[in-house]
Amino acid sequence: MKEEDIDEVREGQERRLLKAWKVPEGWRYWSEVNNSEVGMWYTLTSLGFFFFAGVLALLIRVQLAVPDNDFLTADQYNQIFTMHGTVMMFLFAIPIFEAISILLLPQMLGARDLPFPRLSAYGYWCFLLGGIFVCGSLFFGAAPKGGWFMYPPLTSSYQPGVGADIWLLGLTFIEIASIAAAVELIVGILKCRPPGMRINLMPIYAWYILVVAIMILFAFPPLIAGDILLEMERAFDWPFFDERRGGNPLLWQHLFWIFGHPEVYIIFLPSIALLATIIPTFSRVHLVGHSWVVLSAVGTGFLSFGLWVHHMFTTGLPGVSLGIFSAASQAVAIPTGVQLFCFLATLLTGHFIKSVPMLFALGGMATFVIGGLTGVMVAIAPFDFQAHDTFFVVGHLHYVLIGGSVFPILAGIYYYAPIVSGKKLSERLGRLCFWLVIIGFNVTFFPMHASGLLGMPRRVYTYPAEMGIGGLNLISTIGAFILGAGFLVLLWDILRPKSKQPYSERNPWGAGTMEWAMKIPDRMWGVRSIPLIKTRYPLWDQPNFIHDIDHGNFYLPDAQEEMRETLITSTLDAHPIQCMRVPGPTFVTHLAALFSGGFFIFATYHWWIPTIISGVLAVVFIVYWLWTGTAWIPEKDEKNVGMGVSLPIYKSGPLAAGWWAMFITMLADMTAFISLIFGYFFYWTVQENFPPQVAGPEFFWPVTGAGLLLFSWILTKLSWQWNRKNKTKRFYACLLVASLMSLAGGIAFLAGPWVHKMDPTVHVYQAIVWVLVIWTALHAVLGSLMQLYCLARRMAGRMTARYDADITNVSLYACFMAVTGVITALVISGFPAIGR
Amino acid sequence: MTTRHSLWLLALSPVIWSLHFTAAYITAAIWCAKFPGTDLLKVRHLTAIYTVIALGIVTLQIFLGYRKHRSSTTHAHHKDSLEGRERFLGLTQLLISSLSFLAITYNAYAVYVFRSCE
Repeated sequence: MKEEDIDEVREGQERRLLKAWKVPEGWRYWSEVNNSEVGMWYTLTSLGFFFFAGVLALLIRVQLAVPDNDFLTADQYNQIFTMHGTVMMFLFAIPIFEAISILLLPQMLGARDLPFPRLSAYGYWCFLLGGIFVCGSLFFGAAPKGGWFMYPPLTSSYQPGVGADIWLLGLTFIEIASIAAAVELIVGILKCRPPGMRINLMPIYAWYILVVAIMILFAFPPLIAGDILLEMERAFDWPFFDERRGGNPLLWQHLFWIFGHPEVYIIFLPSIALLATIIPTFSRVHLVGHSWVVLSAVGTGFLSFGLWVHHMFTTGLPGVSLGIFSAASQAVAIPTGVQLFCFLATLLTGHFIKSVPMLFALGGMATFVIGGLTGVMVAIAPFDFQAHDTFFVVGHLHYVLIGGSVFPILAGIYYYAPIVSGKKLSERLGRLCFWLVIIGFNVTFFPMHASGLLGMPRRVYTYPAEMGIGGLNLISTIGAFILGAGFLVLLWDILRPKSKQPYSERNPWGAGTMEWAMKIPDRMWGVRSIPLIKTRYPLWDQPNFIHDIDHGNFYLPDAQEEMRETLITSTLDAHPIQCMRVPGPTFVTHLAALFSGGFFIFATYHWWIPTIISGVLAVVFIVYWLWTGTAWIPEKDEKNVGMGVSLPIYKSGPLAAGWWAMFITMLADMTAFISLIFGYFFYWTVQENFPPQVAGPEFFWPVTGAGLLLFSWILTKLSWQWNRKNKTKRFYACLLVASLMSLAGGIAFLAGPWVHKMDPTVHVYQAIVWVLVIWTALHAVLGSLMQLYCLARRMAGRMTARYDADITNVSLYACFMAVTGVITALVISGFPAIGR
Repeated sequence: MTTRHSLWLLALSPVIWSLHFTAAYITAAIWCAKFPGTDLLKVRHLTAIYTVIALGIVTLQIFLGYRKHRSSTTHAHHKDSLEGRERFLGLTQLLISSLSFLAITYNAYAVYVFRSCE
């Protein structure tokens, strides 16, 4: 082909790609679902919440600047410190990792987008709505005030306002968005890597995010379970935490910290992942001990689930329990230390290049080490008995979180600014910001260790002059304003007009990782052609890499049908297996998020009719979204994706992204369920007489319910087979019966406690049985709905014998539904027979 | 060269750690809740059994990881080949299993030093 013809082909390809990935204009811009837009909104919104919570921190410091201060009332102070912790944790630290990952991962993986862009968008709009709702309560004096960990009985029996409900329901809503992001990220990393990027060549950032996203699946559901129990007590007087009726407030602490401690690592590991990406760039060598750093990520992820009781050392648990958790708390220091030594080794073996990102990276590592060391101190139970609930712990946790999370994020902001906006941030302002932040930070938080050891308690709005801690507090307050000034410099650097500043050159830091292959300014297609990866640092080690990407010499250089597409590859070796079509802009995710939010927000105020209407509308819009935006039947089976490879457009079963999304979501769902089961057995361990000698659900109804759900699953599986064999009538009959059985199974479960007149407000036994059957019944109803959905899909010709992703995924759901039913029946019917 | 390696294998040793951890914690918690004031001899014996089983499996994992890692000395961990991938997964399995071994030992020792529920 002549040179001009080749150019013409390329121009045509680029035109079609641009058309497929075009961002809508005007007000429709907000319907975009592409990762670069959603990721940017997500990042900016979580930074906005960070600044909001930062202002709250300054108010706290003004109040504590001098003894006996009356700048804030006790009630205002309680709301402000609760909101500071809550917003920093739930609206900044976790969302910003998801935001950065949604923004950067596709670039790092050479993918055009993550597999479920509309899910990311839905998650973002839920987060925005929930965040505004939770923060807004502060302006009406109605904010939660029970501390960021909401301990009952304070929050169940002594705080009648809506504050605790806002926390419980608002954050449950946001947690669901976080789980959605986790599903997106796990499937993205496992299935959307570029061809050739075997598991040993995967960027270290992706390893960390994979670990953290899996942690979210197992850490967040226990809190959701706890939220359900506490909200049921507040709204309907079910006595889960009321000692007089068999409840126990320690159950909340267990559920909260099973979430809360891994959460610290959920915040910390993605930030460390940024360091692991940035440090090799400025050392000009590969990361030293890549496998050791993978060990650290995986090891820390696991061990972090064995530490939760170290937040409960002073609750009177047996010494042996404290010993077990103390030992695990010491053990987690090993993988944490390993990764830091690998970073130092990388710096020492390479050629160090000074830069603003590296200032923040080194500052963060030093700060984190101090926090880590005080962490090892408080992991020793006898020391913790002295330091618990004092400002020593406040000092410790800020060193860990700001050193381990905020500094690396600041490094990341300066490092990745050219990718997001096409322009670098100012070197001069960056240095100023760094020095103000690191000095301000240490001046603020170091004295807290001393004031804590001198006896200053947390969460108390003032202190008497006689304690002799006024000087230390004043120093902390001065430091806080220096720290605040540092963040103002950052804010100015981000927001200042840059129209006269030229665009950054391509790959301005000389990095070796894939995300820097993009053009600056960015083109909406993400990557011109999806490359074949052969090394961990392709920009350094693969000759002509950028040239070949730009000239469309790799995979998917074209969008012949002008549809958004990306490649799906195998998990271990990244062999291309599918050319997946991803959906484009829509407003349906906004409506789904709006009504999902309405469900939680109306429930906060106990406006039950709007709650139900909103919930039903949320389901309607989610079904509409699935109906119109998923499992499209393609116009042809296969398409040529370049480099002589032809791939199927549609996949179902374990090779498909959708199947994995269902599987991963159900793992999270099962974790929440197991947390409720844990509650049942917790009550058994702490009470002498559990289950008490009262009427239980008995055998008949729960066993019937479990049997029906089991049969429903078997029938769903059968109908999947009939569908494959194109036996339409059998398929319809089987699935219709399965759907009815699911519904009947749910009703049977509810009938157990109903028929035996179990009153959930009398004793915790009745309450926990009711919660378990309601949980199971809800899953049965959902299963029934899904089965009907598949029926309708086949009737409408949107599912066929060949294109059967819907029924494949629903039969997976039905399996989990049946397991839930069987476990519930075993526990509520079987255990009383032996437990008494 | 085998390609049967699975990512799930990386998680096996930490899962054994978490099972051992949970078993030791639940045994101690139930014992102390149901038989307060008694000594912990039975809990220590049970934990010793859990520990022997857990360390046995994890040691096997360490060995298998080592064998995979040593199976091809000509391919580095970062090489674009099946052998490179196997070596990487072998080393990672070895390291994660070693950490699990250490964490299980820590846990068992913590139970061992306590004589009563006080």
